[in-house]
Amino acid sequence: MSQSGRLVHERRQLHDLKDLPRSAALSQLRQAAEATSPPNYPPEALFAPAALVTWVRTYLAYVFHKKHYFPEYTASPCAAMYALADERGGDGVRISIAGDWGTGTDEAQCVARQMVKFEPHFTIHIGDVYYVGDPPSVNENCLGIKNPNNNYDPVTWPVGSVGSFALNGNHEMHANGGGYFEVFLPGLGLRTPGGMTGQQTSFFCLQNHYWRMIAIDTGYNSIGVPILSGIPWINSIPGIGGDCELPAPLLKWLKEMVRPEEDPRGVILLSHHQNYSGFQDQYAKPAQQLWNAGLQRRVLWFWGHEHRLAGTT
Amino acid sequence: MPVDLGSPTREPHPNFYDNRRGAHGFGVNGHVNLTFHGPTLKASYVDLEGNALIEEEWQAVGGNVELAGQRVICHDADFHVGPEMVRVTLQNQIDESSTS
Repeated sequence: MSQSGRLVHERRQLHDLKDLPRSAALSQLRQAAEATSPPNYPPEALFAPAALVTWVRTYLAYVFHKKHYFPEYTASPCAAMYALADERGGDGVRISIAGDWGTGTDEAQCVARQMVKFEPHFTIHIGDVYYVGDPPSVNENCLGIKNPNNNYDPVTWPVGSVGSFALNGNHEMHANGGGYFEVFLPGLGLRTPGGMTGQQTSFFCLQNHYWRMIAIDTGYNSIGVPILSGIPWINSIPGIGGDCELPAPLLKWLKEMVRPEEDPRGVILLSHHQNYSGFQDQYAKPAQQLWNAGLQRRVLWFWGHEHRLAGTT
Repeated sequence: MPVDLGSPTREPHPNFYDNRRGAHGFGVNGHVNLTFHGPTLKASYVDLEGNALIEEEWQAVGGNVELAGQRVICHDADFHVGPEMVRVTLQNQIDESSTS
């Protein structure tokens, strides 16, 4: 208990994330409110002067800074093409996948524990670190490093025995992608005796004789023009709202390295955003681009963003 | 997270979805485990408690990925399974019985 008699939790609570808007401005406000009244901030903290001042400062910093540059496949020593194999090169491979996991809650820790029980060769996070995926958020919610802005216990993303990867989500781009590209990815990739190789790109392919698991970055262009993209009708104007368009360097990688039209293997797609949904918004653009890039067959597609378990044929 | 609850409101309706509410008031699904063996992929969807909910088997066939079978493990009333999925599961059982 705190001195005020309020129950104090050691980690962020799911209720703190309830109805979190998919807007950079309001996600930044949630983060500012939490930072000004730790721990377990009450709802009225959103209107505290200190929270509003912090919010204006961080939100303007976001608005007036460019997105992190988008690394091309040449940044990766293996051109972002990895072996889908166990430690001995065999094709009996286990992969554990979670999405929208980076919350820093007890539930996130619980999922991490369950994933470890599977003894996966690879783990893959398909995007979203809350509230805004900036470096302190990535440290606290993924790397087990305490956030100096609150009193919560951190959570650590489980790494597989061969390696681990992460996709980009919209919340990472609420901080222009800096925490994702600069803090999270360097600690991922393949395990080596000297440590992790790092994941140099926000897209990758794991492949063996039968399968290709192709991971794409739908997060990078998921955020539109600040402020305008949050206004209904206006955000439907092309170029205003985020449409998850796959960046040109990713399409170049598909064309030059993946070449899906020439390949007979089964394809599993991974992305943060859904192609379609029976529950909420749909993002058709990436699928159109994949089709145009030569991926014109039946695939299995895992995505996050919807925050629910549902399967559609 | 937190895991959302509610019924589908638009097409396409899912073949299955988990609408179970946990003690914290939110949904309870967690992650998916994939196991590759040659051209076969098994997917197991696991909840926060570590319970497998549905298991699927997929095959890489001639460049396509085909659903070979599904097994529903969770029989909670709020774990919704549609007619398409029932058909696939039954077909799978028929295939199993015809080969045994």
